[in-house]
Amino acid sequence: MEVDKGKGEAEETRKVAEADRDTVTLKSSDGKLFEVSKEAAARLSTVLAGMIAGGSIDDNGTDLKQIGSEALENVVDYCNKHANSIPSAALISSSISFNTAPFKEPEEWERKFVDRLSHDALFDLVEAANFLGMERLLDVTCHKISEMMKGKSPDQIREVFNIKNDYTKEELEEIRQELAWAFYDD
Amino acid sequence: MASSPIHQVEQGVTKDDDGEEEQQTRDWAGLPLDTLLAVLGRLDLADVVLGAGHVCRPWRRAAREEPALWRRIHIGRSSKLGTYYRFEPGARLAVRRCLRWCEAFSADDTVFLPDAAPQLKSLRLTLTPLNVICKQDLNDAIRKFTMLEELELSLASDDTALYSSGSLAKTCAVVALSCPLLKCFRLNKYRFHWQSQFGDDEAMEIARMPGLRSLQLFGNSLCNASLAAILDGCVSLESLDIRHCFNVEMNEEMRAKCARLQTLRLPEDSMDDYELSFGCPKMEPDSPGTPGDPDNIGSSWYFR
Repeated sequence: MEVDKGKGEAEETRKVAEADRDTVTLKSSDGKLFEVSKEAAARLSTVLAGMIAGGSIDDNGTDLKQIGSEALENVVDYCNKHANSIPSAALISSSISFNTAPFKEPEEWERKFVDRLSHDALFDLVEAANFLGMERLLDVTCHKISEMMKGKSPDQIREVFNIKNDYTKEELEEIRQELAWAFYDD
Repeated sequence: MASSPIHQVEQGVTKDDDGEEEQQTRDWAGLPLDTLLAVLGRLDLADVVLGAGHVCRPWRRAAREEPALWRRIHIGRSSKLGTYYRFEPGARLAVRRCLRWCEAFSADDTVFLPDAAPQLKSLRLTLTPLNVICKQDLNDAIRKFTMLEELELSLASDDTALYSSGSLAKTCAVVALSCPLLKCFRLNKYRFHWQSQFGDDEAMEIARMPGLRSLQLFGNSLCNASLAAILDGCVSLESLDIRHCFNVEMNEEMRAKCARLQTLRLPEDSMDDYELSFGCPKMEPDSPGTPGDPDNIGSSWYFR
């Protein structure tokens, strides 16, 4: 009885502590733990915002089985950096507005943040951003990827990303004809 | 020397910017579809149509068969697709294939007119001197955009000869007639010119858009009577931006008429959050408080 009561109190204390904490702990697929600002996580990730609001955040590390430690470290690093930067007015949209505006250019620190990544790390980070519903991080990573593709032919893009040309002869001919006006004219 | 293990042969080796070799092990062709769409969806149309959309089977399938990818299309400044688009039927075909699903189209400084987009709800065009969209084409296209809810036509320089002699008023008339669902309208001049008569003609057409909730008229030469007509005609108007419309005098009567608006930006208000470039206003030479005008007043009347 006494023990149970104690347990309950401990549980209660833990819950209160959890609610008071301004960070959340995330656990990568390979079991590494990362702390991230609760405010930034909720603001930048729709998935984490949902988990925080729904109380499904685990004090001992919320399992994110789809994300490896390197990618999760980058995600957390991005969130924490974002928490310290002044939100750009451009990110705040009004209710009656044109919604066709292209995404805003990455800020200087965001550019540096993705520039240092290897291709593999960039791949993992895009997947993680997409999985976590992080619109802004998707914008920033995709902007980087698009820069790597800009002005390049399909051949050149295959080379950059090490993608195999998986077309049949017939398909290649079809594409060649379709793009004859752009790359294949002699 | 011992030969490399086979699995390393299959890994790609690319050089990064510093010339250092980098091992690549991720399968970019195998990106999950939703991630792939997130990536392709953020590319410039030209980069998909000319490159990424043909890299491998999964990417090509996504670029050709996923309507979600083409709901919003933005074409940036100096897109190299522009030149092709003007001269190559193949390029027009490729662009039109994407436009089938387009709901929101925006372009800076290009020759594109999404005339093959039956679903279009939003259209933003920045018109420049290099722009070869002729006003007849623009008006014809707008006649087809009966679903349009948002429209922006902004002039990016004085020399937009296309819009000489009041043709924007004609375009406004077409919009008023063809786009009953229009909620947001932006019609921005490059600079205010006190002597232009066109502003009033445009305003009288805008007054016939009763569904408008948001209106931005930068540097327009409309006068108080025309603005009053807009406020009377656009009964649902909530937001109005008339910055640099220096022919409007915000007297007591006009202020009373504007009282129902939720957002109001006045002629003299700050331009800090204005997204486009604009020119120094040409004020009436004798008016008090005329801002310094570095340009030669009296030249180039045609842009009014």
